[in-house]
Amino acid sequence: MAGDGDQVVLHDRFEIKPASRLSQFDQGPAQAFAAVDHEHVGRKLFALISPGTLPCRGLHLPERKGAALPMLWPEASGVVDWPVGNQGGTPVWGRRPALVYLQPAGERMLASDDQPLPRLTEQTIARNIIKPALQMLRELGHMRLAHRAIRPTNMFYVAGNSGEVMFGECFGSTPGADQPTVFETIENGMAQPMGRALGSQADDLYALGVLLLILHLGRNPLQGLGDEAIVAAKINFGSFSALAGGEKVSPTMAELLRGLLADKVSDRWTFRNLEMWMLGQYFNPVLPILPQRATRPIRFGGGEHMSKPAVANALAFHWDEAVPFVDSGALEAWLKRGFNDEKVGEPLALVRGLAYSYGPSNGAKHRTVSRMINFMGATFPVCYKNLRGNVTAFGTLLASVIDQPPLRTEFVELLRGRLGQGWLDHQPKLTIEEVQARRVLDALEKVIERPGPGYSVERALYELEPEMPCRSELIGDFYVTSLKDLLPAIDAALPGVEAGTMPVDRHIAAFIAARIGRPVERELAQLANINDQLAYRMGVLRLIAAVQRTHSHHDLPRLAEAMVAILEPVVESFHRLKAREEVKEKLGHLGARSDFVQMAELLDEEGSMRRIDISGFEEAQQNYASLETEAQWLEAGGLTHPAKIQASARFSSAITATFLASAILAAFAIFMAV
Amino acid sequence: MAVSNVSAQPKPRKKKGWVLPLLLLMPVALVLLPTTLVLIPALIPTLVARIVDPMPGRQLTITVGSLNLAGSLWFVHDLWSAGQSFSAIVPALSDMLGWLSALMGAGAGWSIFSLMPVLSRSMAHAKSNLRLARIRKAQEELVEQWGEPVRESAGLPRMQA
Repeated sequence: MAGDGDQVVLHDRFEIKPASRLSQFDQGPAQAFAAVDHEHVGRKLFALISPGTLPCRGLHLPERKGAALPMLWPEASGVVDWPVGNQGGTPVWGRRPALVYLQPAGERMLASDDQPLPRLTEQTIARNIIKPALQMLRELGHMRLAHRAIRPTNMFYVAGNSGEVMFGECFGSTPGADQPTVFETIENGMAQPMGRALGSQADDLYALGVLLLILHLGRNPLQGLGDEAIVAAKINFGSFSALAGGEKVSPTMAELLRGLLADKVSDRWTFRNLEMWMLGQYFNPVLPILPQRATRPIRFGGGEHMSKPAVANALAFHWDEAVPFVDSGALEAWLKRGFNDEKVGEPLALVRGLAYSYGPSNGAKHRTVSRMINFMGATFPVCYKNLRGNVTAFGTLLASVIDQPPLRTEFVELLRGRLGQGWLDHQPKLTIEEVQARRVLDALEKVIERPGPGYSVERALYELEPEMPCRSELIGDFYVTSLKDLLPAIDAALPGVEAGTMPVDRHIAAFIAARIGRPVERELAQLANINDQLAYRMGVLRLIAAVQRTHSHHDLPRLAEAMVAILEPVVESFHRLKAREEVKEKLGHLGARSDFVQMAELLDEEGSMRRIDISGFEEAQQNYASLETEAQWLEAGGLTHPAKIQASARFSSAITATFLASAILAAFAIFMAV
Repeated sequence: MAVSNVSAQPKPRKKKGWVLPLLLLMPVALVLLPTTLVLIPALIPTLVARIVDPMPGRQLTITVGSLNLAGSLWFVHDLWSAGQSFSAIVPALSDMLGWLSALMGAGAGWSIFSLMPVLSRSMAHAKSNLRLARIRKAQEELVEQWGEPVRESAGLPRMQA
């Protein structure tokens, strides 16, 4: 929490200094700053401040006990108040995930990818690289974590600038996102950095294999190649051959590297294999399983391709050419003749049929290309126009494009076309993450088409990634990943925005809908009804009340004040003037307690107060109307019409005269009787 | 299609309400024949009123007739004081005060009938104004309680503040 002045303190112990940058420890988009441990002042620490727009897995690490890990492991982690901007010389405070690390004593192995790699012998590699790697992978394996950032630029010498190494941190940025393509498997290498899967230990072992190979060779044979070319080389020759580049390595190293660089996950060496290899056990070398070659090549994207995965890779990277190419039928013909497979027409017809069955009609050709890539390379990421990502990384992929309208539209088209589900249908076996992804994708189908707040692409963002921070303009700087932090964040953000700003926008609505775990369709429908300001404002209140029901916060004075002001038109909608005063007074009391639940009940359209008001008003209207009718009748001479007065006068005369005469007769009778 | 039911309504029967009282009065008139003979000339103003009263209900006739009858009691008193004989008819009818009384009664009837519309008009206006004031007050109370929109149901525009 921010303490006095500009101090940033984590867990009342680690002070992070925003003014002291330590850019040498930056990790991708996460920036490093100096940090001080107030309990052990002598320790040299640095803190990584992760971007506020992406989930940070370093915040939810399991507690680690036991021996020291040969990697940078957070001393502490949490969300801190952080200066996120500057307004007229005054810092604007937000919140950011912070990870505090001990500064490595040794130098970084490689400051940048351009620097020359050290050339290490087999023994040095085993002692200085594999040994700490085994230790780290064992510990991470126990915690079911993958490092996903194993590369020379993220490694440090334990001391000085040579000898045993330790691995860098891996929790400050998205898994695999900072990895150069060469360190990623074919599947993840083909995906965009933010579309790479969270991965498993198998991905770490692959990256370790690449690391060992290039350190053994002292160079990266694929250096300078683009992502497409690197992936194409790995597809065509197998990762080991592509990376070895024809250089000879010793049989024991070849055995190790072939095992670690097996492109098929089931053939890849496991931690156990590596451990046994270190103990001296020999294994049969894993031979690469290369894709089936066609009898003749196919020209596309400026190159000739001999296998289906190679063509799929080329299609993914040359989308504009791919659409007319697939549409022309040339690919289909090649698949039939090049592989002498006349039966391929049937699955291809299915691919086309599915592409035309789901999604908007104008994107059918694009979806056909996407499904063709999936057909030719089942494990490849889902590719659609400029997007390439693994289904389990759709959340981070969307987070990276949501602020770019063209790419965002492409992502929505991808979801509407059921391309993720199509990809999952092609997998022979699904992981737990993939099963969960299917469930989410199926659920998203119902909401992605709806344009209102709480639905559409914003909802997809939060459904696809449970830890995604809310990207609302209002609270985007507060790193809100959980519903319990939402209302305090809105309360904190309100003083910095214009008066009258609604505390719920599309992102907040979608965030609530995705996280609250109960239907909020009614609230969202009201929120979508912007033309009916009363319903809209009640929708805002109801959503906030729904959050408060789930996470009871009652110290939200600024939000309460804003809500009381926002609800003024709703109060004014009460017909009875006295009722308005009563409601206003009650609202004031509830505002003082930040009780939005009671506010929603008080102003509920179906509530007793509202019902009484409406029925009373209707009755009053009827009364007024009947009084008006009577008044108009009177004004039109209802009682004073001459004919009526004449008739009345005649009648009155007769009665008066009769009465008088009767009296005289009675008096006469009495007189005569006497 | 709406069917006019005017033709289905029975035609109003001609009123013959005067026949029964006349039949009942006939024996009395015969028994008290001297009195009847005195009252006939005394009630000539009523006869005139009946002739000039064209309105249904004959309120003019009733007004003039009732007070004319009351005024004619002077003759009746003279006649009955003289034993109600045929010989007392002429002396009774010769009494100037009797004629004065009968004609004044009739005149009072005429006066009431003539002045009553003026009185009725004043009363009706007063009553109408009073009722209108009460209605406006009730309406104002409704507006005070429910605001200007309550007027809209009556097809009235909201009053500008």
